[in-house]
Amino acid sequence: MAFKYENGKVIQVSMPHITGEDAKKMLNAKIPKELVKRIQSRKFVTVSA
Amino acid sequence: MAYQFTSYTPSSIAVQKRSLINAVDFSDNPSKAIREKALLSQAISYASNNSTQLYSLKDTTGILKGILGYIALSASEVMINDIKKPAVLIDLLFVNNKYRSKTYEHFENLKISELLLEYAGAEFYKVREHIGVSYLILYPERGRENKNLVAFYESMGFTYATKKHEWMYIKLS
Repeated sequence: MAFKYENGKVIQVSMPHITGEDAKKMLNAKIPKELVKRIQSRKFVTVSA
Repeated sequence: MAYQFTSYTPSSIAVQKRSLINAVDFSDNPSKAIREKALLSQAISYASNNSTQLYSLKDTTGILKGILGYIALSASEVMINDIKKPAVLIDLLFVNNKYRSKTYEHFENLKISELLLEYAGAEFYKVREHIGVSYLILYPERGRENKNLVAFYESMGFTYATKKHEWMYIKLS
């Protein structure tokens, strides 16, 4: 659920529906290898509250 | 490790809701602060009924005090033409006002926002070990007006899905 704040209220944003050229671009988007490498090399520690 | 994330269950949120909000500083601009507080409260409320998973970030070295920021993630989907593609949605990315726009040597010269986004990416790959998922997506609140925010997401690899400049994505698998 994504939100935006408008006129003093938090509103839920409807989910994206991508069509046409934008859809083609999104389906064929390249995976950013450098970023993936960076993310996967980082050792995050998560504890429970 | 100089930092640590904490994940919150609905029961832990029920006990800590107020302290989670009070643990951080909001923008110095009063109207921005109201908006940020409302959005954080909403994310905490959704996390309290399992609609999103909330995480906080802390410095384990003690150099930076308190909660540095929050990130909230949920399972989502994107309709691409008539195909539903599974996604991980960043519901909220919030950095404590005290620590915004600064890089920290003991965090490998990263900003808090960069650490939070990379954590979202790491969680994406954890999810992908168990269920199919393709995209990490987010809706940059007031993205049209906030050029710095959008420039930051773009520097992290996000792209606007359409010319309407609403949703942004990274394809991660």
